Amino acid sequence: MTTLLQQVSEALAATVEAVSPGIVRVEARRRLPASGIVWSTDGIIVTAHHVLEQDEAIRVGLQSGQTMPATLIGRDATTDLAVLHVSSVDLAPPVWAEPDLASVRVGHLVLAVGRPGQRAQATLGIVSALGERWRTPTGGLLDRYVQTDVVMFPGFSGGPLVNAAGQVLGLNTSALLRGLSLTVAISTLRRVVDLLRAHGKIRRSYLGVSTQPVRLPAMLQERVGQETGLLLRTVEPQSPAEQGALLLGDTLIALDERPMRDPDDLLTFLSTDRIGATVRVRIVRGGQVQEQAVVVGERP
Amino acid sequence: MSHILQQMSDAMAAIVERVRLSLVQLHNGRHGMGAGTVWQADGLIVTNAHVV
Repeated sequence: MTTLLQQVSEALAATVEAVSPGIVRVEARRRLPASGIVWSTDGIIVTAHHVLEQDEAIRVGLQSGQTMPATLIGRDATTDLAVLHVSSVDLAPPVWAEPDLASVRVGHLVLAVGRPGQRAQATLGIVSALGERWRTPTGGLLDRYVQTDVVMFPGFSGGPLVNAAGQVLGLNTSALLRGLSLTVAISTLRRVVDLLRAHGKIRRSYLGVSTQPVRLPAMLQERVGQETGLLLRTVEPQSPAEQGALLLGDTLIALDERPMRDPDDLLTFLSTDRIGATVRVRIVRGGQVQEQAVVVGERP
Repeated sequence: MSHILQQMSDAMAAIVERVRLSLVQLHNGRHGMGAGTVWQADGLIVTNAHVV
């Protein structure tokens, strides 16, 4: 019996050791450093957006103990991902689980590994839930994600989630949803890394409003065919919304005939391909339904 | 080396898989959602009072 536990214990330690050369320390904030994963041998590192409090003077620490400057290639708050570049010949990417999360099941054993300090650190847990296509509270799109019960020690964000075969399932973050340990899967990582390498950010279309869902009066519900709309509670100065004559207190009903029932409808509508497009905006103002045109901008 | 970890991992996932058929999701008609466990094959389900 002891032998079995020893075997498990040794196997866990061996898994951590095998993956740790591919995990770096990311020093980009005053408090504790965080973690990053070696993406490719040409110097690309992926990490979490929220652990970068500065865009410059970022340093990355390797397994060898070597520390070197890193440049920020791009960052995206909505998926909490960032891409760095270092000039090092000593980079060893970990083995990724392919294809993506196909083999992952709820209940599987997983390790979170990080390098907030000199050496790799690890916590153990299980896969609690598998999610598909989830829009984050800030409007990012995760194709797939894993929710686990691993304890995310300070500085673990940006590090990998590792399965029992020692393969990396994705990048851990504790910031996408407060109180939860989420792992962004490789499909999303690949998409975001490619976009960040190409543009430095994820381009999104933009109206310049913040909204809150409100229940429409019964008479209006019948007329517009929906129960709720989006009350504009701020309209940014010089924003596309202001230039399109939208006012604080208007209630958004539809954009190009797509009903706006909750903030997620709006986030989904504001995709990259709508930058520069003229859209028909249906609103309720002073109890009257009216329509006007707004030219969608690009988020600064 | 990690063969034993994979065995253990698969065994844990298999347990979840096995009890999944006895697990139901409850909607209370408002915003709430909860879980329930099948008590008898003829349709009896047990859950927490605060869920209903």
